[in-house]
Amino acid sequence: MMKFWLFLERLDRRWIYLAIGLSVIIPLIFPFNSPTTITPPTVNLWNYIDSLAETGKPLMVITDYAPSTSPELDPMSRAVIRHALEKDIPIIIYGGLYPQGFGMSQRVEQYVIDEMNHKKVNGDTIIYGEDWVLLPFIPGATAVIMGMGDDFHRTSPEDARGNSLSDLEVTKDVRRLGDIGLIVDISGSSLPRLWLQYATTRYGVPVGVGTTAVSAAEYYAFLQTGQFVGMMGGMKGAAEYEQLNEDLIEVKVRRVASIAMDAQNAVHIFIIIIVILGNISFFVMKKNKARRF
Amino acid sequence: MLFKRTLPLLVVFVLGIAMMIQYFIPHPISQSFKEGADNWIRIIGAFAIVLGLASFFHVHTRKIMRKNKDSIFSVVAIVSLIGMALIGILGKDGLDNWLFSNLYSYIIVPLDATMFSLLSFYIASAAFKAFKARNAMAFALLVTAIIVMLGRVSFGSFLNGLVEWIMVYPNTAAQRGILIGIGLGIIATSLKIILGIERSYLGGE
Repeated sequence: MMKFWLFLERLDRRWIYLAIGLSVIIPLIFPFNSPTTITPPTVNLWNYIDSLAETGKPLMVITDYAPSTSPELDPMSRAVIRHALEKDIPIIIYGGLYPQGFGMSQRVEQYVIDEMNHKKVNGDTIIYGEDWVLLPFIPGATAVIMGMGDDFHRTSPEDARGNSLSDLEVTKDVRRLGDIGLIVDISGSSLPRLWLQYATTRYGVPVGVGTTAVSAAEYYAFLQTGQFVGMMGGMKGAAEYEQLNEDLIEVKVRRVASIAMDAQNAVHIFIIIIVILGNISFFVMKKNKARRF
Repeated sequence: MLFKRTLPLLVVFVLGIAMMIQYFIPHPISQSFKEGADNWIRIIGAFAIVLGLASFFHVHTRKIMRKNKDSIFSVVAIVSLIGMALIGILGKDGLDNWLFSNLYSYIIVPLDATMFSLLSFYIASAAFKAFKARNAMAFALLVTAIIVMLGRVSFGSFLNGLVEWIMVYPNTAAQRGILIGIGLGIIATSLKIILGIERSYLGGE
């Protein structure tokens, strides 16, 4: 037995890399459709977005992230946009305060809109300007939020395609941030806090958040106080949102986050096992050394 | 001396105090002042991109001139930047520029995501080699981490209640302490900058 613990103690880290790689790849090739349990922060966000259908106010989806976190955050953006479009909630898609965010918003827009228009028959397709609008990147971070809060059209006079915001159905009545029903900031950084500090505190716009699993811990403080209306945390949060879309509004599409959760499940279980084994090995070796001296 | 130190310090002091005061005054004059300041910030923000580009070219051209062994990467970086910019600016279809979209979607996105995903390999290896319960605090951290990780997978759904409790109470208490600390730090640093005590942004000192 001692040989086994010694082997673990001296294990080359490349074997761990190989095992991690296989733990990701195998479940993606042979998915085992793991069940998804829904948590309150995701339900709260879903319910809030769903309630916007009654108010007629637009939803602003902000893709405040770069490609590095897109595997975790893209499914969130897609699920939220899909939900809003299914419920005929007008959407303003905004790449946010990161220059790279615009590319992400464009990709998400393309994916969902293609899927929606492919699914629906000709007369019921979604139309740019009437159902959604894409905003361009504007440098300035905090100044952009405050500018939108005071005068939306002055801060972003045109959409990303060069149309005047006053001519588009979705944005013609959005004179300031307060005219927006909800901001959902999807980001792996601390930018949702910036939207909270200015858009919510100063202009009274509710904010929801979608974030990476690593950053989720930071936002529980704001969820508890009710400052964030809800949250999707990590891949699991995205999978929960997809599940809610399927269960409650019968959105039957390829659930990207739910598929990726199989890989995440396998990797988490693998890491837990190696951490426990590593600790047992550590104590056995320590005891063995103490016995020798 | 006047332009390098006194004037910038004066501008920071006057504008810092003015922006602080205007936040509490909902008068049209105060609002118009804020709108002007917002415009200035956005314009200066755009210039920061130009400054970033200048710095990028400076660093990489110097590496190429010195002909060190990694200078090929600098060539790739400069060619990629100029190439993407030219394709974006000269492309005819604006947002629907096929070449630009494909370069972004099929080169930049996978490259960036791959770089970030490498982290998971290092995290797993580091967790195995270094995450040891050497004392009571480390043991508490280890047990909490295992519970939260299990709660985040489908098989661990029976732990959801406990995970939510950990996130909502102990985690929130710690996060709030950190946030209050950060907030106080930001106020202290801002005051030091406005009052001219902290001058490192002027360069040197």
